[in-house]
Amino acid sequence: MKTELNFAPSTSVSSSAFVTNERALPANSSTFNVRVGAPGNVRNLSLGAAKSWTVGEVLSLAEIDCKGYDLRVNGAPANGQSRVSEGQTILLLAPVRGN
Amino acid sequence: MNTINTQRHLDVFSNVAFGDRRIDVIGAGATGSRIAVSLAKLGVNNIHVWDFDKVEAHNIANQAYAICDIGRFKVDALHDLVRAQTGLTLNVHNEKVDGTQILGDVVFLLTDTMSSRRLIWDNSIRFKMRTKLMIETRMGADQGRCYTVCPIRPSHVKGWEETLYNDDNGQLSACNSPISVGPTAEYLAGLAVWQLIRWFAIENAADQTTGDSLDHEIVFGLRPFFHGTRSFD
Repeated sequence: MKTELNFAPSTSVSSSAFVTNERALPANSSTFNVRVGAPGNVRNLSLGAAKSWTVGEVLSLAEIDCKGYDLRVNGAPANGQSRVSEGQTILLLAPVRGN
Repeated sequence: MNTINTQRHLDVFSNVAFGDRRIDVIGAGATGSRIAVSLAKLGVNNIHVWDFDKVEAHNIANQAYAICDIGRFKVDALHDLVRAQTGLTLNVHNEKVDGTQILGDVVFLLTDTMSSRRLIWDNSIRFKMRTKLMIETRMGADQGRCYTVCPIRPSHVKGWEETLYNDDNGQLSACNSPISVGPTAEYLAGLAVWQLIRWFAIENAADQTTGDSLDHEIVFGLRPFFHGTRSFD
C-alpha cells in the first residue's frame, strides 16, 4: 500500500540525529513505515514486515530514480544496499557544491 | 577613520573576547564575500581572505561586489568594501589555496569544486592542531549545506569525509557554470557565520551550560522550506 504524506510546514527542529519535518503514519504489525523522497517531496511508504528491505528496493517500489543524488538514511550516508527499518527516512539530496 | 561599533551584538558575540584569533576565508564568491563582510561587521579583526579571481559582470547579481568592481581582483574589491563599511582591514591573498598555506584558528572553506575542498582539507586542515574549526558550505540554486567540524576530532573527520562526492554531479546552469542565487547565498552565509558564533559561545562557556551543541551538518532547501541537522559525535 502506498500512501501520500502531507508535507508539514516547517517547524523548529533540532537533534543530534538527522531531523526533518516530515510526519510518519501509524504502522501495523504486518507492515512498517519508511519515508522516502527529496526534501519537500517526501512520501510515506508502508512495507511488508516479513521481508528485509534495502534502500534500492524501496526506491524501486516508490519508482524513484536516485541517479545523481546523494542518498541518506536518517541523515547517514547510504547506498542502494543499505538496510532500512521502521520509521527511517530515505532522503535524496542534490550534491550541490557551489559557493 | 572610525571603526565599527559592536555594542549591539556583544551579548551574542564578543569580538573583544574573540581577540586576535585568525580566520581564513578561502574563496570570495557568493558566500565568501558575504561571510567576510559579516565577520568584519562582528568586529573580527584578523581575517585573511584568499581568492585569485577577478570580479566579472555576472558576479554582481549574487556576490557582495559593486558594478564599479568589475575587472578588479575580488580580494582587492573586498578589501575596499570591508574598509569602507567597517573601518577594518582585511588581510588579502590574491592566490589560489593549494594546500601549502598555513591556515589559522578558524577556516571557512568556500571553494566551488569538491576536488579543491579535498585538496585543501588533506594538506592544510585535516588533523592540523592549529585549526580549531572548519566551516564548509555548499550551495545550489535553492538549497545548501553547511558543515562545521573540528579537524582534529576523528569522528568529525570521518563524518565530514563521508559527505564528499565528486565534481561530476554538481548542479549547473544553462551556461555550464555552477548555479548561484543571491538570496540563497545570503541565507547560507548567515548560517555559516552563526555556526562560528555558536561554536565560540560553546567553547567559552565557563560552566558549559549554553544549552546548545553544534550541528555538524545542516542541510536546507528553500523551495519548499526544509532543513535537517546531524551530529558527527
